[in-house]
Amino acid sequence: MAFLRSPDPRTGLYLRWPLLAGVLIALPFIGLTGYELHLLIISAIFVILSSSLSLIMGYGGLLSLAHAAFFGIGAYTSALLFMNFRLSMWVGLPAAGIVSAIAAICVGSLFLKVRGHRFVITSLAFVEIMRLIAVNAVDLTRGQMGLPGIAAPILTIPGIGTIDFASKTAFYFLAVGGAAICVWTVARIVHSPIGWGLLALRENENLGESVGVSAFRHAMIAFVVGAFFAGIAGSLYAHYTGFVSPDLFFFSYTVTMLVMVVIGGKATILGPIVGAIAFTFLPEYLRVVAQYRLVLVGVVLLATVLAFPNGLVELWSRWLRPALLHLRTLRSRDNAA
Amino acid sequence: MLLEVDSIFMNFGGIAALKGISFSVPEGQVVSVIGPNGAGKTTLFNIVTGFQKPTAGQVRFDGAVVTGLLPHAIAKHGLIRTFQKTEVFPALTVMECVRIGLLNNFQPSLFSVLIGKAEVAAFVKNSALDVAYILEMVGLQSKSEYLAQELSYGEQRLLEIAVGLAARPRLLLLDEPSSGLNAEESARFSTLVRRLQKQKITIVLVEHNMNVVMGVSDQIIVVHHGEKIAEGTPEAVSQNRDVIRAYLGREWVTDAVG
Repeated sequence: MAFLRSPDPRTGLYLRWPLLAGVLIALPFIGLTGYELHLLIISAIFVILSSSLSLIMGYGGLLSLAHAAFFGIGAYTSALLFMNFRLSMWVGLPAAGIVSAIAAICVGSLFLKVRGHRFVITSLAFVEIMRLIAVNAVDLTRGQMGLPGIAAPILTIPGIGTIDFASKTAFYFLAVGGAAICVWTVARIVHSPIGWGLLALRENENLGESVGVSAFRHAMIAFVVGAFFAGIAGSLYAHYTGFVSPDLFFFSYTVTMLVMVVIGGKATILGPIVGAIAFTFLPEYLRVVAQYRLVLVGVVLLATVLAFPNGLVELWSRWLRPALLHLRTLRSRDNAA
Repeated sequence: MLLEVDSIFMNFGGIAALKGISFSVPEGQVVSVIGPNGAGKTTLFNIVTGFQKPTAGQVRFDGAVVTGLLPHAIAKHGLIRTFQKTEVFPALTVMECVRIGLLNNFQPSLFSVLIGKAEVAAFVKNSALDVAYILEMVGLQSKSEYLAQELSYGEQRLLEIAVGLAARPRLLLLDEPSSGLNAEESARFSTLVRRLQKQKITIVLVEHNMNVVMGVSDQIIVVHHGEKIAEGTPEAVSQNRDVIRAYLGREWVTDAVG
């Protein structure tokens, strides 16, 4: 797994994975409040959404506004399986991913034939259609009333006991585990020949086609893998909050995901992770300023975009890393002298 | 014959851009397609490489009909083109650009990428060597870490050819490769074409620079108003009355040919 050890070519960033894993495992046990743990779980779910969207948008260059649709499809799949058949999340989670992926194959074979504005608008229309279905197919979805009471799963390990994921600490590991698998998969794809093909699609579709790179094939792979993980995120969300409603298809979810990708740094592995965490915590912690909260979120958003057009990861590549390298050369010069 | 173009017609609305053009390209030769601006040369290229569908007619490559296939499917046959307006992958490094060309030879499935099949890892590992070899060939080896958009115009043209070479072409169609190049770059380009020919790559060239055309071509095809008006060796074509008339006008014919 050399790609996990090598620095990102754009940012020079690489993660010390064992250290990161250690921190992630220790986090729930350092005395965080339930509220903070809740935000971490929501962050992890948004990391899944933003990383998978970055595969489509950052690497493939397809500005898909349909990501919230697959998130909602996953959430409803999981919820409906639970409500109607009492199937736990262990069935609902993979089912949500698969149903979302199948939906992506169906709509993708239509949408991915067009590019640019037309793709953006069709993908937006798809979310709206899904929202209208969720609102109006009352027999199935209970419309605006939503589907309440979706329980978190229970895991029974023979000889050890049972883990009830209704506890935040337990669910934290589930969500972070899901996020880790998603990030790993995205990283694996973008560092493979499929990832090269995605860059070709983003940078110059005709030139790519002229050397044998099928734009449609690569767009489809990104779209379907992205939708799969959006579905997984939807299922986690449904079983964590216990409630699913047509609000999941609101445009604000789509915008939130886009902001996380762009602010964090699109076409990087770390960017969407940073973006998801920052834009889960920031709006919550700004609650102290009451009615000025959203204004401040907007100001921070603007300032970040202006200061770091390529995302927060630039903070490292343009400022911290050069500074560190400079310090190191100074120190070695001192030692030599 | 490696490439056979068989009575291609192309209409845009009421305008006939190509009126039944036929020609063939034998393996290992350099064939130039020349003609005044608007003669239909680029349209012909687009049709051969699948970027446009002809109104009628057929293109065969190594015996197989390729008309109607999508560009990437035609590329898989080893029929690779460059573009009149230079095309690169602007925000990628030179190395990354050339690497994309290698995908014409091997594209792993999603499954084999996710499980980490050895053949994928081997392809990725070998790609570095392949890219270095190709960059050496076009003379861009010192630029491999530059972004494509940082290169000069002439270097971008060379990069585009490098991307095409990475796709392992059997036939390379170059659309006005030396336009915008200075004299020195043009000369370097002619040398490159001869090197490619030695490597048994068949080349079809659309070109306005007559020094390049006369210097490298085995055969020349002259297109005018969507029709083939002459073909033959450089010497024969340069003496052809119809060709001189198309390029210079009627009154020059007697003077030039005598």
